[in-house]
Amino acid sequence: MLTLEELHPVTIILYFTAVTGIAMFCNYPYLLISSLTGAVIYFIIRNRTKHIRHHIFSVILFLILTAANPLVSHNGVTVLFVLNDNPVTLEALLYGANASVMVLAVLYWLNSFSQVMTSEKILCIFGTVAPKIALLISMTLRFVPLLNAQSQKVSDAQKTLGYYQSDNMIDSIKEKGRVLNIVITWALENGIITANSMSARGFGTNRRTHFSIHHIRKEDRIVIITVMLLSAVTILSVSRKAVEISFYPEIHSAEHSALYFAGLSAYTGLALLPSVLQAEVSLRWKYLQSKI
Amino acid sequence: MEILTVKNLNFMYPLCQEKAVSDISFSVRKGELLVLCGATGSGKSTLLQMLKPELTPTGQKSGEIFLEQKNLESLTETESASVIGYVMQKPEQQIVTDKVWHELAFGLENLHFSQNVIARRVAEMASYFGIGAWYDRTTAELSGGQKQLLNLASVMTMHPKLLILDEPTAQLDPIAASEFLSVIKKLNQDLGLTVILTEHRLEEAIPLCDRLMIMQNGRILTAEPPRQAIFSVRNHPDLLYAMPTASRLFLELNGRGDSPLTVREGRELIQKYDKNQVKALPEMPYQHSGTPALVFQDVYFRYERHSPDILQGVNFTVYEQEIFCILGENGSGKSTCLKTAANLLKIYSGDIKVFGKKLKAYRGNALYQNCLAMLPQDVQTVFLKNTVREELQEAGTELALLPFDAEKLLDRHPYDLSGGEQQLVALTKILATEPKLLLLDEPTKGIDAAAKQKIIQVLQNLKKNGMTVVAVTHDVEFAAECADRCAMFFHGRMIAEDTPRRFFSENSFYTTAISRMTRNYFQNAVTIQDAVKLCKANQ
Repeated sequence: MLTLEELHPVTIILYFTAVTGIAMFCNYPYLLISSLTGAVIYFIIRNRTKHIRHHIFSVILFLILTAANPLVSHNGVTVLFVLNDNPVTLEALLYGANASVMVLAVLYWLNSFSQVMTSEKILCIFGTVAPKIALLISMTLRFVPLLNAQSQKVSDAQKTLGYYQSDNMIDSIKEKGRVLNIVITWALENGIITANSMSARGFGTNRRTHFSIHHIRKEDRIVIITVMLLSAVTILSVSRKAVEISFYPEIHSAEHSALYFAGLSAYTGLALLPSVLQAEVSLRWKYLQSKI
Repeated sequence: MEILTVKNLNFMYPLCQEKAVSDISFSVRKGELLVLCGATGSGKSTLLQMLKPELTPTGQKSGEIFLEQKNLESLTETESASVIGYVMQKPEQQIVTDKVWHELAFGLENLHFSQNVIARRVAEMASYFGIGAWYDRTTAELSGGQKQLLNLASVMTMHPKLLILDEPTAQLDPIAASEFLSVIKKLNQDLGLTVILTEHRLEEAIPLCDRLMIMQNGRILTAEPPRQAIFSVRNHPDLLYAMPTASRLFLELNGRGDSPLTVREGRELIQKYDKNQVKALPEMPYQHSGTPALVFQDVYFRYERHSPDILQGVNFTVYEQEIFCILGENGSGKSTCLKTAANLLKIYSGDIKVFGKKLKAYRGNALYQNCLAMLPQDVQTVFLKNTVREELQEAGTELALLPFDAEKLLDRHPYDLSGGEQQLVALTKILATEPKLLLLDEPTKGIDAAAKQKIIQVLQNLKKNGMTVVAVTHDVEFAAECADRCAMFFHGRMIAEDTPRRFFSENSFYTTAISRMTRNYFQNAVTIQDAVKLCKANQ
């Protein structure tokens, strides 16, 4: 198999839509916890010990969101204590905790998504639907670093001309303005050359094809079918109200039917899928290496 | 069999009185490599643009152009896009997309080829040009040479029959430039591709070509095989400067017959004068002034904490009123060294002293007033205004005291000037701060031979008036002509400081064409004038 990020962009988008979509529309605690677990494991497998700050931020966000709900919502029958004549209830506290697990899970998934879905993969998706927009994005992506580099150069050149006191705030703001001004002129001037180079290579003469270096492979088909099956089962069980919970006024969940277990395990499988793929690939590597 | 025939072509830009291209007729054979040269403003770029319908500027046009017996105007857009390939001067600005593979596919995408055809042609071109190793990279991180190679390859994917190159190597360093030219020659040889090429740097382009076409004031001066064509520039000094060294020496010595073009042929010419009468020119000992202007003491620099050292203990001294040239390959750290001297980059160890004071001792912008000025590599970054006049007035330059004739330039936008004119205007603007120490980064990049002579003149005048100049350059001929002392920058260190005569006659590869030609015959000839003197003494 391949890891998720090596698969076709369409597969990647389908996976992340399924895993976050279901988590956003179903508030069942076990389902959300498995979603968060899957998301965190995948994030850590990919980034190892980097992004420690992100984890700390998540813990703080969890605490704040959990604490905020019971302070504003006073529904629920189990009163824990009374604060400023307002009851703080157990149900509201759990509701808050549940909601923040959902937020964190979605945040972790989106974070991994933005790491996995590089600009060229986004372009590949756009290219098949709207080739012109794809080209526009590609050109923009190329232009931004170019502009940054040019403004740095202009700014250096102006500095050595001795126009500005390096320790004067107003001067440095004035300088920024002048640099921006000339960099825009420069960009327009360059735009002409780029436009010439485009028309010299036949831009606008025909309908554009979009060339892509990604192909749908066997692994993509397997993953797409798996994702569809697992989410179908989960959606079925959620829509049949087999996996459901209500917090107010009292915590009440549905009877544990066969569909309940099927739905929960299907979603757990879905959430762990990228980590399983990753583990499979690295284990296979270790195995192959050991045979050498 | 002609692939291209041009008949009585005229062109005049709107609001202009003179024709940019005037009554030009010529033809190009299939598989020919034609080099077109001419001074800046001779109309060669306009002529090339007229051969590519998409790029033809607006203006008054008459005459006819035929491509394989078909009038250029009757070609469909698709045909003209693919049949005529065009590569321009600036490597950076021609690139459209952000990924190398996407850039290669760009032209084919426009012509609506299928995925399979695109994949095959892109793969084919990438391996032919050796792009495979950086196929997945983003275009912004490529070097100048790689960018220009990519531009060429992405034109070649469309299988053109005629390839037009408008000064493709002007922005490249010498090594990348000669690599690029050898790829052009290879395409010409391997595929029988017809090539029309204009160049500033003709030393290496002319030996490759079948015919040399020289333009002046919108007209064709000559279009002959290079060995004969050379003779027609004898009385045009600004064109002569651009010719290969061997040919110039040949003309100076009043040679007859076929002109030599390469160093090897130049050696054969010199051999005739090797009569053991005078082996070397008398050497004038060079005495620098006593006061140092710029001192580097064990300077270390790196860009990031964990990156390797770019400057590894640089030591050198530049004395007042001398021109000091720093030579060295790309990425050796010589530009970085100049930036640390201008205090644009902060060193982490060692000392830099400017006129006896440490850089730290200059408060605010005291360093940049009446003290030190730097001309960056990309001179466009110096300009901020809409006309040259405003630019110079802002800087406070006395327009009457300019070191060159700027009357014609004053009301134009700085970006519209030629490379050489931009260099001169930028230099003038920088001189308005009345520096005593001038730092130049590649002052001869992308400018023609005549402008180079002008710059050398200006620098020598400045030196006479007390200026100290430190120039970083790839251009060995420039350094040999104007430096008082040269040094080689290698691997983060400054080595082999010496006078140009000793420096270049002791180097065997990193040296001027004349020095390579006269090796083992004469001892210390570095410039054309040296060689001419020695040859005449041995006559």
